[in-house]
Amino acid sequence: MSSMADLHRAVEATLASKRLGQPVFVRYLWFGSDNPNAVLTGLAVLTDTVCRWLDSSLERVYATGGLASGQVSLTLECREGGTALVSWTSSSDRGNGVDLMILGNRGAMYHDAGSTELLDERLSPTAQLVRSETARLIEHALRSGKPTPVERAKP
Amino acid sequence: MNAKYGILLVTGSQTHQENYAAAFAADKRCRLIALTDEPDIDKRRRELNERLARALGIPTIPDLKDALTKKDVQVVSICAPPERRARIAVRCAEAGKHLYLDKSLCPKVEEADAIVAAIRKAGVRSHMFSFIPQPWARTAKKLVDDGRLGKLLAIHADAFFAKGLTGTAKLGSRRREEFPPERHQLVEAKRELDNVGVYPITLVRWLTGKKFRSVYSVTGNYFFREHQQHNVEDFGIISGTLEDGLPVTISAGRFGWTTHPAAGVNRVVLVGSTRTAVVDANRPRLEVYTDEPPWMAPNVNPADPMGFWSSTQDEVHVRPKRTWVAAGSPAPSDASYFIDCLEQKRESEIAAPDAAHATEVLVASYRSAATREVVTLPLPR
Repeated sequence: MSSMADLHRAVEATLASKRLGQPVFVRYLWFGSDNPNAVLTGLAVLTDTVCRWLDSSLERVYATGGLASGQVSLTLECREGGTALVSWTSSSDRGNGVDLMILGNRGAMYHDAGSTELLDERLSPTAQLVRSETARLIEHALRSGKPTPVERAKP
Repeated sequence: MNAKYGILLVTGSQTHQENYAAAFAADKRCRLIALTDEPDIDKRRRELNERLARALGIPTIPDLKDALTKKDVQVVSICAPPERRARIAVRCAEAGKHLYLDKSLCPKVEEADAIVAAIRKAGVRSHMFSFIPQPWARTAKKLVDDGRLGKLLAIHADAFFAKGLTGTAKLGSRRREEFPPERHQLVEAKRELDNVGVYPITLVRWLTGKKFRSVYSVTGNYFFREHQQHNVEDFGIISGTLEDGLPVTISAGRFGWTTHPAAGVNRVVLVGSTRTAVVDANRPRLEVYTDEPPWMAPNVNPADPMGFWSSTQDEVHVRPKRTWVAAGSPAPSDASYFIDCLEQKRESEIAAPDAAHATEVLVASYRSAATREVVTLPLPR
């Protein structure tokens, strides 16, 4: 069965080929775990992943929804202008697991999972244990309901 | 069948009137009467108006005031540039004519309010062009309305037009948006959050029956030098909530001829408590691969580098993309949808008040992008 890691490897190989030019926008919809801690960590890992794809550092995050409500959407803004919408849903219909579109300034890639389910929740080997800076930033953004610059969320 | 509805066209070539006029002309219930505009338009606009009128075989009436006195006109199709559209729409409503309106309605909230008030006072019907008559949109509406998704939990919508020669914008820094937004429609560029984003905003409002309560928006210059030079965006995202708290995310813009196998992205993800549906304007489809020469982006037409208009695309011989072939029900024309509404004496599902709300969402989004703050709706009047 294909995994999220397989998908990410294919994305990264395509980005490395420069066929899309400079990546500028990522739309990542993740159908994932119901466990709030796992979700927060998962969103943090995806945020870091997406920023790596955009080849840029995160500047601010705006978060809507909530872990308890089963829907979170993050608007990510990177320093060099790239943006992303990373959304998590805990909908009971697990569907394909991931819906992904990446735009570059000269091309795009669209994820078509077909009948594959991409529900690998092990986004990183130590994902369950890490309370990363990014996770703290997302938590802060969710609590505040306001766009949160990276510096503001530092403890 | 008698052509019951006389159609007056406001503004001509190099606007969407090229398409709307053809759609009305193809409906046997309609007859094109004349093309008109405000009397003080510039020479270029006058020539373009006359060009479309000649192509359609209809007379031009130089002054809108005179055209509106014609008793054989029941409907006015208004495609004037955004900055002129509202005052023309108000005049047409006051003259007792039904309004078929280009999108987005107009750039300013107060103008949108004036259009709505004029239409209500005159008791005429109105409709803003949208995708809602199309089968894929109707499918989405049915999924929401018949409860097959359970309770709607979130909506994620994307719309991008695949036109223009991409890869020319200078990257590396964040776009600084301006408020209020100026320069909506130029020869070389349009404000694409408005121009394209109006579709998913309208779709979400129509699917849910709910208004937007808050938006956080970011605009960008990712693809085209032309947009950057005129300081208008080619890309935008909106993260919002509706009045019932439903979260909505929208991405929209223009991203270049070769960034999509067909006309562009047009899809909505409906997240429900029991089921999630992805409704895509490009599905169902056939995919056809042959030994014919691959599709190539057309030469740039300096009169229309982004390929906004049918006539300018014809001038540079834009070939249709043929890899994806639509395999669903044929789409009825939006113009015929409005005529159906008039025949059945019912309001359009995207009448002026709905269009006005989309204007308010767009204005709020531009304010959000400029201030980098969340903006709540309704906006102060």
